[in-house]
Amino acid sequence: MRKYILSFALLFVLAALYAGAARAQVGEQLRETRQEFKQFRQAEVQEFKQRLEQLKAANQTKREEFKATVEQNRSELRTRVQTEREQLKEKLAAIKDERKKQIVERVAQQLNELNERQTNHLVQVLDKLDAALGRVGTRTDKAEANGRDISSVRTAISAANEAITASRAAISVQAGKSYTIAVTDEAGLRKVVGDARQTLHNDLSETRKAVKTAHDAVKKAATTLAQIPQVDELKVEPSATE
Amino acid sequence: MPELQTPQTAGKTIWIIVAAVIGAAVIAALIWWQFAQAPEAPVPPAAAPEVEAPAPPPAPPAVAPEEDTTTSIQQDLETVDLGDLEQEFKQIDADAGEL
Repeated sequence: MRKYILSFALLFVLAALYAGAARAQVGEQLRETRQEFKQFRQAEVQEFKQRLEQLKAANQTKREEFKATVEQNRSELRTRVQTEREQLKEKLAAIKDERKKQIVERVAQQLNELNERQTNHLVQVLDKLDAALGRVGTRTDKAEANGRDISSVRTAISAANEAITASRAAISVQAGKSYTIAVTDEAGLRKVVGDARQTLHNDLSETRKAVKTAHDAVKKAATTLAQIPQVDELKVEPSATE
Repeated sequence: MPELQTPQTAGKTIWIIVAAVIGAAVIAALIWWQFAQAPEAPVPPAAAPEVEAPAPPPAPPAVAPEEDTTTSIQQDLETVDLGDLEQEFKQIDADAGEL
């Protein structure tokens, strides 16, 4: 009987020792896992912030380059418009009706002013779209950092970026255009003024169409992003070192 | 020649088996308890509040200060207005009509 009791006591002590050792080991493993996880999260946050900064810088550069191009086109345009105005005056010298001459000159000026006003407005619209797409990108990065599937959003963002680039090119070209009225004789004034008006209208419609396409593409990217469950609640922790 | 078991020794054996089973159950319970307690005890206090388990924790404020919820983005996109081109041409059309 004593032999059994001693064996049982020995077994009990061994089991207790084993449980203590196992507990310490599990604790150590858990600490290591937590440490690794923390480091992984910090690296992810750092990467996310770097990507965000790079994206912002790239967008800023693109915007500045685009505005510089538009401004350069306008600068060249002003010289050209001035020359064309002088040429128009020479052609209008043959027209006897002073009122009609003034109307033609005024319309010629209005056409170029309207073009400048419209392209300025479209540049502002494009800036807004670009900013909105940047925010879609930021939110997408957060979703990605939280392990969500964002492939369809990335595709939509890429398409929107292409549409914005195409719009920029269209606006840049449009901003460099001038509109002249090809005066021949007094009888044909109405027609040539109408032709110039229609040319500007067609050109602006095409440019606006490109911007509208970009608008739709950005909206689609935002809608695709919104379909990710609880995407607005996802966040990225700032790292502990900052 | 093997000893024959008397009723007394047979009773002792039964008690020993019962004691062994109870002992094994106590040991199993002890081991289970030790494992169950393990996650709480050895973790340093500084690390504990940050991560409860290896899954995405509830996060503090976002890195980007700007409002980038899909609702606000979509609201902003709704306010984008290309304007009315025909309205812009009204003055030109009126002047051209006088020719």
